[in-house]
Amino acid sequence: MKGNLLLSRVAESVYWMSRYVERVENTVRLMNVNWHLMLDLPQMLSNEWESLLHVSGDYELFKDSYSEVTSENVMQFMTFDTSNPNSMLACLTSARENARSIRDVVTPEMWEQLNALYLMVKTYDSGSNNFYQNPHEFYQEIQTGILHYYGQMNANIYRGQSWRFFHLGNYLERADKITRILDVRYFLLLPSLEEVGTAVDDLQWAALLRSASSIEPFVKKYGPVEAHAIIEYLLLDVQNPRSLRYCVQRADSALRELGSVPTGMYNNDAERRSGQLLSELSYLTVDEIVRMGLHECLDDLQVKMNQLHVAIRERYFNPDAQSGVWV
Amino acid sequence: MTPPTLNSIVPSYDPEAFFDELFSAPGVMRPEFVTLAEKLEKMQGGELSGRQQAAERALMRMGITFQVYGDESQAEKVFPFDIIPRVISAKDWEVVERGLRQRIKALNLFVQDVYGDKKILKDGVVPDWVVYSSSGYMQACEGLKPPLGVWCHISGSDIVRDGEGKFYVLEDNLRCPSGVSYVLSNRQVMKRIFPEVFSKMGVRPVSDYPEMLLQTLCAVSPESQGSPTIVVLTPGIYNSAYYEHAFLAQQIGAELVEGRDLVVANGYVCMKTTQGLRRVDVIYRRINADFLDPEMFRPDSVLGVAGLMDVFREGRVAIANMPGPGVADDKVVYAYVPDMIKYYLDEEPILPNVPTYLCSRDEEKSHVLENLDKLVVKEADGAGGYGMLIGPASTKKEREKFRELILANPRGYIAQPTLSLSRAPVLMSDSERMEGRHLDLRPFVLYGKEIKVMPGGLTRVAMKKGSLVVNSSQGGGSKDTWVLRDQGEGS
Repeated sequence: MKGNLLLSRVAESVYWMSRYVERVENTVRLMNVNWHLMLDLPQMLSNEWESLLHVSGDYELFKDSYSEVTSENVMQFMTFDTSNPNSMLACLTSARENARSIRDVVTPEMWEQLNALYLMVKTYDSGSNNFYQNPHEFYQEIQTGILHYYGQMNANIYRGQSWRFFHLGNYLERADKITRILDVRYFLLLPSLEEVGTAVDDLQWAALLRSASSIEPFVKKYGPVEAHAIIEYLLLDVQNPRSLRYCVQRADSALRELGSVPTGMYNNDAERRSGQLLSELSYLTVDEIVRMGLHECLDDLQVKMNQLHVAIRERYFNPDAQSGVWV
Repeated sequence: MTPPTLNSIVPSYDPEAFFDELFSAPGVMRPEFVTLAEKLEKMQGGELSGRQQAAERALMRMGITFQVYGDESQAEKVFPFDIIPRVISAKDWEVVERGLRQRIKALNLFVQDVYGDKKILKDGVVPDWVVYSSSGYMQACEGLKPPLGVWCHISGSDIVRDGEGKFYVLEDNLRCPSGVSYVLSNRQVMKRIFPEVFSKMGVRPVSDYPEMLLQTLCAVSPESQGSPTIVVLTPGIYNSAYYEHAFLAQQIGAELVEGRDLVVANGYVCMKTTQGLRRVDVIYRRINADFLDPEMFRPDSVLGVAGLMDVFREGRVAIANMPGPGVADDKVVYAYVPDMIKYYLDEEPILPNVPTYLCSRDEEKSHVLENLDKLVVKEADGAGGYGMLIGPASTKKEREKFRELILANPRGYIAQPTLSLSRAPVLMSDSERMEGRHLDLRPFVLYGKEIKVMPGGLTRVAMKKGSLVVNSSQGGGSKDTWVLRDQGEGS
């Protein structure tokens, strides 16, 4: 019987391919929102671009090769510059390389879509297309391309073991980005959570919301944009598919399905850590977060997600560490 | 009666003095291919080149690209593809198919014999020194007994036609012949481009190849119960045929593995999965045989699996193709294939060899050295269009170089008359015009419980004007190969 089996190497490639695609999705969303925001802000507030470099943690790298933080430089750096491992093109290249090594798991349609997306960004002529003056259309195309890819994935991938790794990669990457966006924006926006209220702030909070998620369901549920509500919406709201809690919950289910373990129990460190993190997020309140300090709290969550990532790697991608289980 | 919309692509084509696969005379297509001629003529200006571009875009998008070895900076390229198909009539194909079955049967018996009883050597039909000096001979394979006695599960001999249209076998590929994925994807693209022509002409499908391959691999599995676990063993993503390895694995539902995914444990070959070790029954190897098992063959190999051959000897895993058949890919051994067919099958060869002079025989060597300007000289273990001298196109300096090479190592060289290879029209990129280019054919033959021949195969075409070299490493391209149904078979 062949059954449902998955090579460790393949599982790891699926996981990383998913992370890279999701990373592009987050970056393009962030860039596009930021560009729109800049059109609405007074000229002197150009440190918005700088903050964006902090989100991906690439500010130092940027400074190495660019003298000035201009919109053009940041767009170039975050979109096409392959010396930046987090640029869209670099991530698409890595995603594609991973996909190539697992072409027997990825459906031909998904592969074609990812390949087409890669070729589109790689061969894009930013000079003649007026890209730096109006990047919206191109960013929109990338977003559409990624949604197309996710559509192929959701419609066609066999719900076997590999599917759980698609999920793990997706949701852990998204979770990571949510905490980073919130952390960086918060740092720049608010020395203290009490000083909210100016028109510029409102625009920026709205932009923050759009960068990480969609704003419409937020307004419907919470009303006008407001800092505490945003923290709740992005970290704790179980119905927002781009909240931290939602992402951790999905990753946790993927792990439980992989290990056939019910909620509340665990057989390995990955399951234990994800269960612990999920229960923390399930019972945390915004007031507690603010009392702890948003930055400190996010820091703590990031450390825990990192530990979860390491535990997954140890359990599933590193077969030498396993005892010779006979299946 | 000529409607005004007709273009001149068909009438303007001149096959010149060559045997042309599609045309019988200037502007006249062979009668059995008339549907194609009509279709080509009816296409409006620009339509054909538009379809050619669409085909190239489709191949690029499908990622069917290759990268030249050792040049990471260079962009990936699409394997050049020409949308004018190469068509083979049912009558012609019947001969080729029978000839291939006969040939692979004899070759397989030869390999079995070489590593077993050695009757053909003892009877002096093939000199033993020829076999033992072949670079493909593997001492470690002596005495091996593969399931069903099959050594060459997947083979792809190269076939050419001469100035009269007669078919010849140019060389045999019993090791890891590649190219079948191009056949399948070329066909997929052509069906998008010329949907209307296929059913009208009765083109035989090739899409069942993966199913036949799967049956072939299952047939040799040591595990007779349930469906066996099959893996395709690839050197990895940097191999130029990686696309094919992944494609075939996906098509036959096998795991695509690298050597590092496999390990020998508890007497079995196992793969490392997320749920622990899992037994493997059949390995379709796409790495060279001498890399398979560092304990048996090359000790420096990191692509293979240590201990694999021990498991094989215990009958606990099957390998396709077996290590060892490469002995017959040698071009000196090739010269004896007609004798093998007579020896093992007591039959006359249906597909002849190209006449071959062996420089290891003194009188033939003198003939070769006297006629270097007329002959094609090849390395006995060469491949990929490298290490060749094409006499009529050579310079004096090149001929001198080969004279020295031959004298220094007569066993290492063979010569053949320069064939006037057949041609077929190729669409020119600059305009709506076709020109003749030389081509060959690599049909794929599967050998499990029975022998199955894929109708058609990979047609490789020299895209350079006048060139006789069709290898992709030398700028060759490919065409879709259409084998037509026998009229009696119904449409």
